[in-house]
Amino acid sequence: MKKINIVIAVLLLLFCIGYFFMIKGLPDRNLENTLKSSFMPTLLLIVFVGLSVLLLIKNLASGTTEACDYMLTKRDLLGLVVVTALIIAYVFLMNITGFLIITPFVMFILMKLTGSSKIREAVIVSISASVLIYLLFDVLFKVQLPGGLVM
Amino acid sequence: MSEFVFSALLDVLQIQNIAASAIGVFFGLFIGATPGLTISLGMVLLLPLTYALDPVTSICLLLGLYSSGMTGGSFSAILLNIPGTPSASATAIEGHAMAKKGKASEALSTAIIASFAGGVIGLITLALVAPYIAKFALRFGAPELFALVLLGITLICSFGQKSIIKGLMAGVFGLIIMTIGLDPMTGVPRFTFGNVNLQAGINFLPAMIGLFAIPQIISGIGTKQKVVPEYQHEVHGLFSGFKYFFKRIKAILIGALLGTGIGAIPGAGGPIAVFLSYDYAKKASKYKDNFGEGEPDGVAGPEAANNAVAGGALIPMLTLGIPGDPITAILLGALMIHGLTPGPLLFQTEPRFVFAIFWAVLLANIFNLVISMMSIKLWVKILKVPQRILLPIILVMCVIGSYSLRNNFFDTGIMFAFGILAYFMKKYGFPIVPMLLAIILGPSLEEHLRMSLIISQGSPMIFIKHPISLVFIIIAIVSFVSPMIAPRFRKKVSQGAEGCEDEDDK
Repeated sequence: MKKINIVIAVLLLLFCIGYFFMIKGLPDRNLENTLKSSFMPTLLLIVFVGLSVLLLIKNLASGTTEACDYMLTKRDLLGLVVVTALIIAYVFLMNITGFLIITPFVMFILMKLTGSSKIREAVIVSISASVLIYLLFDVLFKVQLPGGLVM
Repeated sequence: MSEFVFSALLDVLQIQNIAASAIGVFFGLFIGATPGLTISLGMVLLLPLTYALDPVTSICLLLGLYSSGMTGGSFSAILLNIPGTPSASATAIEGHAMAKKGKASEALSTAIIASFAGGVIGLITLALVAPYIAKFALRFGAPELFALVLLGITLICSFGQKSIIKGLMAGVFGLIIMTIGLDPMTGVPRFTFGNVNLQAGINFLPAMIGLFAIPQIISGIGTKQKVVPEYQHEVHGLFSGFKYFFKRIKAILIGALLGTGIGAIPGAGGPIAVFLSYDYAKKASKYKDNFGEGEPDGVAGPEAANNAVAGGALIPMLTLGIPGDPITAILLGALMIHGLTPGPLLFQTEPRFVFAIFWAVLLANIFNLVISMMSIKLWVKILKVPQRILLPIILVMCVIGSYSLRNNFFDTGIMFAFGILAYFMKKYGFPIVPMLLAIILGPSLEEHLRMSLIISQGSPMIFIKHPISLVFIIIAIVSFVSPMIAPRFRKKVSQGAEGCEDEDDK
């Protein structure tokens, strides 16, 4: 964990450098009796730099090394990749097909990926949950769901 | 203000609000009872549904969930020794021991009745104390409000966190995120990269959904599904628990008072309250020797505490606009959706709504008692609902919930980005609650800071010259510094004591 903390502190200091240049690029609108728009970001940058340096020094100076259980396992990466891919695909396809058509497929895929071996269970749950969510949002609470190009 | 008490009661007793409270309680029991689902997750899933609802209906729904979620956590704690919520951890010690002896019914009924009593005592404290705090807080100007918000954020960042530096970094990062958008004073676009969606800033609602829900979904896919054991014995005769109420009264009162007090401290939270009340209930109990082997006082105290925390946490949220815990932070967000800003002015501008909140808490506690008693056998079966069914539903609710705020998938992108960020933050030891609080309170912090400096013509001494502001800032500094120096101080004291012993031995 000590090594990871050092890496994180260095990465955050690099972020601070980038943030500094972003603050410099803010337009300067001189209004009477008003602080500049860069005031708060600058203050936060100073505090963040200080904390990142503290984190770095604390971990460099620390003599003990903790057991590191913060590594990304294959299962962690699987979870990340699956959720990322599913959300991107779901949003992209919902614009085309609408909520009611694509949602059962997404739910079915996710159920299979989380260990569902029974196809009938996955199909029934996917379809019924999609319809229930549609009824809840669109019909009961009048929150409009994407209709897509098809509907 | 008292003229609004009865009109607020009539508001809450409208059929749609009663139904919302009952639905919230039912959903909260489910969320609380299911290991792996948190009350915060339940709240963020319900939040998009409240966009179209009346403010009173929304608050009835969410407070129903809040009250019953704590009670629901005790069901799996008692029956399976798996706390459904962190606040049910202490209940599991004595509750499961009772269940193993075949006394599950007594344990469950004790938990339910103690939860009701704790919730009501928390509410009474809230109703008595809140108007006075709000009245006092009306004297606050920009410097005091800045210092108060700073104190709230600092307390959450430092209280109970494993690493204070990481807690503060999470908080400051949340504040950095909240500077995105048009500067409210000068109208200058900050860090929008020409994107019109970012000009309104980062909306905290999709961020909240992402912060709480996405890491759970990712972890749920990533981890091997545990087989939830089944409770083998019968559960019946819950109403018989009422006859033991007066035997448990001492433990219930201790738990309720501790829970309310600790709940009112931002950042302290339910787990601290329940373990302290377990400890004190044991010390005060006539049956100390039975603790560890299934003593009902060990269920009554913690359960009263965890429901009283709800009333306590509402005190700083309603009176000062400072959430006491992540759940009240979400409630704060829910009120802001409806244009209601919790704080001292709410008591002035919307007194009827404030009283409606008090009545909604009472209604939620009554429903919690009745529905829990009547439906416990259902929860015994529902404990086995597998993650493979829950996770897809949660994912869809997150996507749709974040989309439905502005009918814009950009917010879904925000939800996803915060979700990934929260996943890595949790992985590498950065707490997410300080960031959540900073996102909600950030605009207010900046506004009051800049106003104060404009008033003082740029001099930061204004925060020192105002005594209330100075006190808040001192407490904020102490809360940040003391967890860092206290362990070293304790080490020096114990070394000194050893030295003295050595001297005496000579």
